[in-house]
Amino acid sequence: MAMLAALAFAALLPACKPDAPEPEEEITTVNLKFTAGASTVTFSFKEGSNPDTIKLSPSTSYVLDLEFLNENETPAEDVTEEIRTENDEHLICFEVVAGNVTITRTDKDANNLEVGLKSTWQTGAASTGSVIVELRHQPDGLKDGTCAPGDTDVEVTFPVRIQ
Amino acid sequence: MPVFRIVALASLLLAAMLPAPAQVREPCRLFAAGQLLDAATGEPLPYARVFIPELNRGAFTDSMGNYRLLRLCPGSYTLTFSHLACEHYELKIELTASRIDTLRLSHKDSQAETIDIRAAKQPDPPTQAVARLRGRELEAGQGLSLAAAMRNLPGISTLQTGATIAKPVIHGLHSNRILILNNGIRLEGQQWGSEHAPEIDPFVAKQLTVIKGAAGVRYGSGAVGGVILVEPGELPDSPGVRGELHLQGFSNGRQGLGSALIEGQLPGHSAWAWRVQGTLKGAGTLHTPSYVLANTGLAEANFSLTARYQTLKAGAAWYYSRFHTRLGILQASHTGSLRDLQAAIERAQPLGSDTARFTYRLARPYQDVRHHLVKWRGYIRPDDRNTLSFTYAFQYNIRREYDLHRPRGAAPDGTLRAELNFFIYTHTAEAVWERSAGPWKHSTGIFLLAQNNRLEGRAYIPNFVSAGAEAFWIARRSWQRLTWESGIRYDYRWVYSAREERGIPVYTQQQFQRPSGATGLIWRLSPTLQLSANTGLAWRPPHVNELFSEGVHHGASSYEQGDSLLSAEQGLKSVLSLMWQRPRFSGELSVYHHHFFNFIYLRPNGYEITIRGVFPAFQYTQAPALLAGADLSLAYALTPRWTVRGQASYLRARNLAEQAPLPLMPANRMAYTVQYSSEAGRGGWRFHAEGSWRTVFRQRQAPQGIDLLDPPPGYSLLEGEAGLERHRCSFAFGVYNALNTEYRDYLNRFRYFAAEPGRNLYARLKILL
Repeated sequence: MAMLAALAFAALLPACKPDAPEPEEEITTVNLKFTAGASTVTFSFKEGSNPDTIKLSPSTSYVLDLEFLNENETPAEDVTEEIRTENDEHLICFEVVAGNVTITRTDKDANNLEVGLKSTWQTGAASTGSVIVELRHQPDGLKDGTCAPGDTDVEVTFPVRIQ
Repeated sequence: MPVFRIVALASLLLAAMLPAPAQVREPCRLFAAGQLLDAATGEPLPYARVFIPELNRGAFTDSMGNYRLLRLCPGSYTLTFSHLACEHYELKIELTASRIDTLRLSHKDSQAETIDIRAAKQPDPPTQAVARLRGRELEAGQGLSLAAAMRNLPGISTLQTGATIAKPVIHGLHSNRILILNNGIRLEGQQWGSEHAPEIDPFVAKQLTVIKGAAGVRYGSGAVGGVILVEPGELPDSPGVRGELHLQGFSNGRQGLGSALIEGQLPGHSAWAWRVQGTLKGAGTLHTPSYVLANTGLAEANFSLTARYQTLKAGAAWYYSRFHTRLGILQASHTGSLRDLQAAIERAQPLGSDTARFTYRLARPYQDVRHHLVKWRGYIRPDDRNTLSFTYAFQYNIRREYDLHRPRGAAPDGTLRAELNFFIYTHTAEAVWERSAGPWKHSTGIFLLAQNNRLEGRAYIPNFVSAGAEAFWIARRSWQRLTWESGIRYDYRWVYSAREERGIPVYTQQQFQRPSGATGLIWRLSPTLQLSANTGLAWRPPHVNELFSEGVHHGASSYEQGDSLLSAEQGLKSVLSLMWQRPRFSGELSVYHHHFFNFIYLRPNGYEITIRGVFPAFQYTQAPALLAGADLSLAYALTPRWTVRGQASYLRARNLAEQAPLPLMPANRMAYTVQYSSEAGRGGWRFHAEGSWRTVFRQRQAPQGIDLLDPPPGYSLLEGEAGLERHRCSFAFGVYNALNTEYRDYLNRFRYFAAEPGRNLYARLKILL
């Protein structure tokens, strides 16, 4: 009887197939669109590769529009919209590790706290350095205008060259 | 050998009851010792009288049911055993050498076969080194987790994620390298994860047995490092209903728990017996000597039901157990990026600990884990020599892990949704034929397994279905002073997994199969000295996390990469144990050598740039490894009431390919205990008190340059307990970490974030109903 059970067992199993995994909601790509006057230049980070070097001109004021995408989906899903809708739960933090650039967030959420999807970058003299772009998720009333609370959804260190 | 071992463990109590040795007459140096058990429950029988009419001499058994009659001359004697509740029993002995017996006494009201089932139900002692926990020693730890209850056994340590999540470690190995048998069934949960504690209520057990050798031949692939047997007591075989109630309280975390058990026979149907058992446990925020550990409470509710039908020729048992725990996780330990982790390490105390307050409420992050086990076992015994048994079990394990914050895009009521959900369904079936023929015993069996593992949420390991077929044969022969055992086994495992790579499902089918084998012997050199040796080859298939991981291991802040080409991990473990059992001095020394041909481990592999920052990358890979060590335990009776004990464990674990130590191995440790126990005084109360000094040394054998933080310094803790007990009632007060020492342990992942809990006072009450 045990042998019979074993045979039945062996016959049944290959018919089983594991469930396909759920696609994960994630961010795979960060695009930085710099605008100065009429000219626009874009730098990116795609997961699995190195981040682009941000090349900017000295003593110029740029407007930065950030874009977050999930390119695992076809067509690519624009996560920026979702962040904009839930802007009272998100904060983008810029940390200048080195280089002559001053970054100011220019957009605000419903509670009059900064968001950071839009910012101005004022460059100084020619220099090289790096800037850490961080998307903090601060739900459930955690957002207080500082970078400390919440989780890191995105953290990319972009090299910067001002020339 | 359990009889011997149990006697060894309790020797101090035994010795405490003896008069000081005086006027020893030279030729009369023999002794008769042993243990009395209740034939119905398997429980030790304390305070039974053992008497030799020929000499007009006697003794009482101690709380562990042990007795000892010393300084006997060779000759013929009658040993009489009497106990209030039990049938009087006589044993005629021809004493030519000292002897140790195990006797089971039946209750007076028993309708079944009366007496003398000498060692009939005792399982054959394994030839591997064994450590056991039962009686008061077990009760002392049952209010903790399963792993913590065993932490003081020689060679055992715990791998922890905070104070509430603990996994047992046997000789440096844990998780997929050991098996835990819950009432005879391999526990199938998500045991691969270091933060996944075994889903077992310690109060289910009447005995915890650790087999510290390669026990794969009997228990199956996976038992590479050892096996833990969680064994409930036997069901009553006498009429009536009885019960047991445990109430315990702990000061740190203000933990309270209650556990109750009721069991009996169906009136008028002595073949039927039943048991209902349950435990409720609740604890709030823990604290270290200097700060509060926010969100470290827990809530647990478990129950089990047993029914049994038993005759001499056939029987069956049904078992259901449900385990449900909710475990709070220190909020400051939730780090999503390497920068967060580094910041957490640099803080003197965890973020938010200065504002945190005591609460029983659990907040994010936490784990919610349920485990269901349904078991049916039937056996037939066509004659005295053959037993055929069948076991089928179904297990369903649901593990939900809630992150600190609800994920982006989730609804605001997302506190109800876990970010990571595991569902694992396991069917197992086993058929075993046991045959005894004269001095020979054979055991032959087959084992089948079918499993489905599904994930929802943050993908971490692939979904998979798996099937296994295993067969074994074990032979055992006993001579007067020698027992020999050998076995062989063949295991086959098929794994079909599905994972996602850049949004596309990828399916992989794999097969693993290996033979394994073991041989060992127990050599009773003299009544006071025993040698056992065992060598076993065991293996395990690589787990899907080792094969297919590809991503950030949250919490560990490392990027882990699987290797789908890993082969089965195989190891050869040899253990040599020497046990001696003298009237005042007893002890055991075990030495082991465990050679892995292809140990699976994480090798540092540069850095990986992800959308969440840069993480140190680790690749699963294989290399030969060697784990070698020794465990020593000693007990010496200073006076009849005072006993000192000592214990030490040593382990050296090396990656032979890299000539480097293996990471996350338990540090060497030692412990001293002074124990006092009195004879029954006024009203039959017995008093005991003990104090222990436990030292864990710094782990100096840790690999360099991998860990963000060096192993913490060693530490010593003082523990103490005092208690009173009577036949039906016992209570004890005690303290862990009595000196409120601030320390961190290398095998606790929370050492990056916080110190271990401070002083913890407890009270424990047990009532037999």
